[in-house]
Amino acid sequence: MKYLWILITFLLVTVFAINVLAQSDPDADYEKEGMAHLMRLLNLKPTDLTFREDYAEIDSLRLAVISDLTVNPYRMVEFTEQMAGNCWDQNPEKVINAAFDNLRRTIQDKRDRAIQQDGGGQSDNFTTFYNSMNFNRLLSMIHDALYYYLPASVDSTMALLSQDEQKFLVREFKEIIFEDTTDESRTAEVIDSIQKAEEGYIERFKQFAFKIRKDFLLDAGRETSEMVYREIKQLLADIESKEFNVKQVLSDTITRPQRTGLAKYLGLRKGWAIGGPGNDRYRGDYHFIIDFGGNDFYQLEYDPENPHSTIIVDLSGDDVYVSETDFTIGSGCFSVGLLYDMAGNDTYNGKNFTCGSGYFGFGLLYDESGTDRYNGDTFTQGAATCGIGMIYDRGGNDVYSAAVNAQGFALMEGFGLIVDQAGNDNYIVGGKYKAIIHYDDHYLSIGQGYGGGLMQFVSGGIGGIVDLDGNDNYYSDMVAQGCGWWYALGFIYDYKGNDQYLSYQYAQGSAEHMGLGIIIDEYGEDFYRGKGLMQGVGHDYSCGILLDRHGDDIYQADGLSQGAGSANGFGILIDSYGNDIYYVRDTVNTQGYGNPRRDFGSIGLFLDLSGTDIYDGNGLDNSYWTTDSKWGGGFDWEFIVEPDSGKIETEN
Amino acid sequence: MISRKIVFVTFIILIIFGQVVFAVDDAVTPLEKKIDSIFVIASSAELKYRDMVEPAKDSIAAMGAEAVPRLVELFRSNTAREKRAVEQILKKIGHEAMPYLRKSLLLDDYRQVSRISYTIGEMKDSSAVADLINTAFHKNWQVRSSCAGALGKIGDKAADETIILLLADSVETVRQAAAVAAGRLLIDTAIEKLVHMLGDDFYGPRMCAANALIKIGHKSIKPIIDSLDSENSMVGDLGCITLGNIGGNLAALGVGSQMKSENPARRVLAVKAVLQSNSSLACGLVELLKETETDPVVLFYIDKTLEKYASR
Repeated sequence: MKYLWILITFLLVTVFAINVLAQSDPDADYEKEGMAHLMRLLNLKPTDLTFREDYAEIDSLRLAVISDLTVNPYRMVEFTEQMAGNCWDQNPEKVINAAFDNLRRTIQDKRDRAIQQDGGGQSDNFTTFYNSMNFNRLLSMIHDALYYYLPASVDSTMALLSQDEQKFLVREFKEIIFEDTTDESRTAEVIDSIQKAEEGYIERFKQFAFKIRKDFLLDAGRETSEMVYREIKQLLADIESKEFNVKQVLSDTITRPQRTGLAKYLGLRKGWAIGGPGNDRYRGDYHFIIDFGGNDFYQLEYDPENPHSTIIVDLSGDDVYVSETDFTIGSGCFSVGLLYDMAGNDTYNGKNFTCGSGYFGFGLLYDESGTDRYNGDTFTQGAATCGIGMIYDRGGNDVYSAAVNAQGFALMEGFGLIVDQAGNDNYIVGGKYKAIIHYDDHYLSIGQGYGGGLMQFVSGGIGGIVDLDGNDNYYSDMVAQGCGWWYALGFIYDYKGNDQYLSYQYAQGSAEHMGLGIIIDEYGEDFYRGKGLMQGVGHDYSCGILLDRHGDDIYQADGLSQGAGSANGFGILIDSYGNDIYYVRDTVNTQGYGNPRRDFGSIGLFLDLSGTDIYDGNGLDNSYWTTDSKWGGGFDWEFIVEPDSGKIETEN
Repeated sequence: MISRKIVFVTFIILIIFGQVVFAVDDAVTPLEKKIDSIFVIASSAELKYRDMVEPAKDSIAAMGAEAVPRLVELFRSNTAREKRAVEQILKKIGHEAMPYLRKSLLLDDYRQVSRISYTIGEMKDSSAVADLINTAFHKNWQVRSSCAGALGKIGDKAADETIILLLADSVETVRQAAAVAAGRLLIDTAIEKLVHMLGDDFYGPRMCAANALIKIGHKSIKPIIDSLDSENSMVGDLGCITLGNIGGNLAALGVGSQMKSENPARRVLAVKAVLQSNSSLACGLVELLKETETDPVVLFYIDKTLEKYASR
């Protein structure tokens, strides 16, 4: 009998626990209920929001998560929330793991893991130079990672590729990522021949891409980044507690016998630098730098033909990092590139493939605090192809500026991400390479949460921005701000602050050609402005979602926007709380519009679930409407009965 | 007119001086190379060439049947813009292109066969009906879907049986194309299947079946009314709206029973059907509903409906 009571109690506790765990976000429930309600009135149902995976041939690089979201595109909301949930810690470990987990191919049953080796024997070949045991232990671990663990993982990743194929990736293939300002003056035939050449590169890539086993490298990258982070934190704690006296450690060295090569000493080999608390200058192709303080100047180089992993740690000071070549400043190319800047107002002047970029590699730029400036051209600031590229910025009012293919940008098998935890930030991308196909006077952005594939050839990756606090400004021109293209996902999650999203076209929760794009903005009085194909638009079997939960927001657009489906796509705009203002210039294809195409239609849904709202367009406060389209409509009703407390939930 | 001449002359100069390169690599014969060189402009999307696109298409179309084999090859392009350009040129060539296009329906590459079927449909050329019927059960769903679409656009009743069979296809995109075709061909014998399709799991076939029933018109009313209480709620929901769109007294009265539904969404759709039907006969039922109705969205539609018919 006693055991029976224990069993019953146990069952009750279990059931209670399951119920508690199963309770989902009430806001999300309202949104789902509202969607179902509106859809029923339109003779639709939530399960209609699905796409086939095989509108185009399923290629070997398609990510499992993209397949899943293609079939269930509304799950983008959940996916984005989960990704953001991994971004609240000081330690980037969680989000790096999440990025890795989401890079599983559809055809892949299990993930490859980097082989943990006992690298102790490697460092034993060295003579210690510094007398501090703790410091030598750190150097020894770094050494083993750089020259043993990481190269082995790169070898495993590329083992099935020929030398020619590897060279092709470093030389020709990366050209497909670049734009060229001279395209503006090129003739159609020249551009066509360039395009055909690039298609040739892509065809060639497709033939051997399945042989690239990126997991080895990425797994080793995340393990190493975790190890380095842990060691830095310990080092800082030791410095703080005076257990580690920098000046003393750096000056307490052995007397080196004459005619002994530096390479024999741990910490002194070529490509290594250890800087003291003063202002230092570094120039060259480094493998490892640890700098203990001062305002330092880094001029960094990297030769992708001779790849190697890089670890740079700067403990304090207002530092300037300059790319002398591509593939620098926390970037990996057939390698792992880690940069940790633990304090100060820093400037990162990158070129291409810089500032947290992974091109067939793993790149992490971690900035602990300070008002920082990130500058770059192409494939920069959280950009990835067949790899992970990430900026993890924990605070300060930062400015991110780039030309194109940047700021949470990913192509095939890539996860590109910016995590910015605090501060009023400015994200600017565009202004250099003209969008010659569409306009004479607008520029490509292709960033700020962009995931893209190589259309008709290879599925794409996942690009995102997670910004947790501050009044942020997102400026772009064409193709940006939670935008996905060709079996890929682009997202922005902005938790708190009064934010501005400005763009011209293909932006703000927009997806094109079998793509997936989403913005979730939780709190703040936000402003969205653009011309068209934005604010919850899906074009050509794509789904774009704009979900703004709290705050009195303003939405402005010209046409094909605000919950518009085009060419059999789905476009959804949901605003849950607040007194909002909606303006559209063209009422024909906005605010709940579905465009007829391929003999049937698209789906456009517009939902405002509470508040007193003002419309200039199809919508009306406290009303339900359909548009003359196939198929679309809107719904502004006091659907959420509880008033918005306006209280921001803090997770930390 | 002058500007058109300038554009054309510029275009010819580009060709003469060899500034135009090939669109694809495997052009072998001089004719293929010539077509490719012009096709670069014909398929260009750049703003600065927009005035040259149509002359370039005309130029290839003027070659007539000779150009068709190369155009069919160009259907293998990976660029949607290029494939669209091929379609437009073939349409310009017209009937002359048909013998080769019909033969090409037997090609191995399903992408080509699918595009050819689609293009034949756009050309509305009845000489290909038998070939399309033969291709309509192709193993690839894209081809089946294109064939159904083409048969509907051509409008030849010989395709009725094929379309009815395709209404039951396992792939929703094919069912949807077949439903569109059934509407275009006004296939009375498909009404029962189309009513059943109002409850299809995918919105494409469902909505297209509704449109087909609206096109078929009054013959559809009774079968729809008979199915309004189907266990599959989508059949009744969409049935109401379909009846409203068909319109008339019979349809308006037919949805009357649905105003007693326990589900407010169904009541909304029933009232909306009366609103759309252009028949004031069911207004009494709407007024009656107003006395007991509490749901705000239903009331919203009741008021709209009564307002519309107030003057009648």
